[in-house]
Amino acid sequence: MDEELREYARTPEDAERLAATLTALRSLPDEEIPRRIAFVSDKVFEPKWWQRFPAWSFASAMLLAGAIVVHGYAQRPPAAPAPQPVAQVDTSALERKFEARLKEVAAEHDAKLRAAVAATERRLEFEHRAQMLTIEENFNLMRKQMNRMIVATAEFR
Amino acid sequence: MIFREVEDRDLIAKAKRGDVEAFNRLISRWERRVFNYLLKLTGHREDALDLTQEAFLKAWQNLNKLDDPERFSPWLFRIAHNEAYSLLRKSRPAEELTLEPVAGDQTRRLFPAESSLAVRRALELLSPEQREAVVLKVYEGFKFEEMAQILDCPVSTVKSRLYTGLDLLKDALAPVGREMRN
Repeated sequence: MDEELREYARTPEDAERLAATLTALRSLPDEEIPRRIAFVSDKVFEPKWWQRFPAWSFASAMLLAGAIVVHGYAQRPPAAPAPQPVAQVDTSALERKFEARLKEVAAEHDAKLRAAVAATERRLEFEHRAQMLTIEENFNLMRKQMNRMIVATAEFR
Repeated sequence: MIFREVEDRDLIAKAKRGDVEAFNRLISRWERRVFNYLLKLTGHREDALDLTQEAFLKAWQNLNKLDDPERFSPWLFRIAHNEAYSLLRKSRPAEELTLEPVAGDQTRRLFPAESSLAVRRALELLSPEQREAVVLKVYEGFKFEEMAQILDCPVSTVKSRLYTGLDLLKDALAPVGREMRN
């Protein structure tokens, strides 16, 4: 019997009853655990060496980009020579020449535009008249057919 | 027993360093005891299994808080106790149990299944606190001091719960135990 339980059983009768009770209690068998418990190591989920390739390529790309930047900084071309002063130009004459040429171009453009508008108006006028003639002819045809139907109806009666 | 304790200490040290396999070996040593402890507390196999898993998960997460590896088993059972009471608080109050005579015919020898049933029913008569004290002492063999650590109460309270529980059990189980010994 458990040493610590001896203080509980003060008399021989108590001890006997306790021993019998413990015998009954300990007859209850332990049950097997239905499923074994285990944790999965994180290593199982670690990527294989080839799965780390994208990371490698990214790191390589970053290194290469860094190297290009450093190289470009270190190998800068010498400063460009200062621009030479340009000879003085008569800007007012240039402006006059530019305005004259601008007027010529604007006049040419206006003339072309007016000619195009006139041609379009003529074409639309011609098409309009043609359509009116067609409508008139169709109307006359319908009127003749109507008259013919009226005559036929009168003769039938 | 000493060899086992040394190995447990070694496994705990490895597990503290993040060795999952060492912790799995530790689980394989303790899972059956923890499961049966929780099974006796809850009376449900599925609940006991879920709680066992939760207890070991919490143990793994808090292993670095275990200062003394020698106190691993009370520490582990303390976690299991907390898990069990967390579930018991959430679940509905237990149905009223009726006291029935365990062995009516004293001349008839009990079959093992009958005696197991008698023990289970007798344990169900106890309050959860009394039952847990009996389980920790009788089935798990903890000392009063360790039980006090697991249950987070004074040793005097542990003794009170245990002795009251044993008083109740003696009436129901002493005849059964006598018959088994004869």
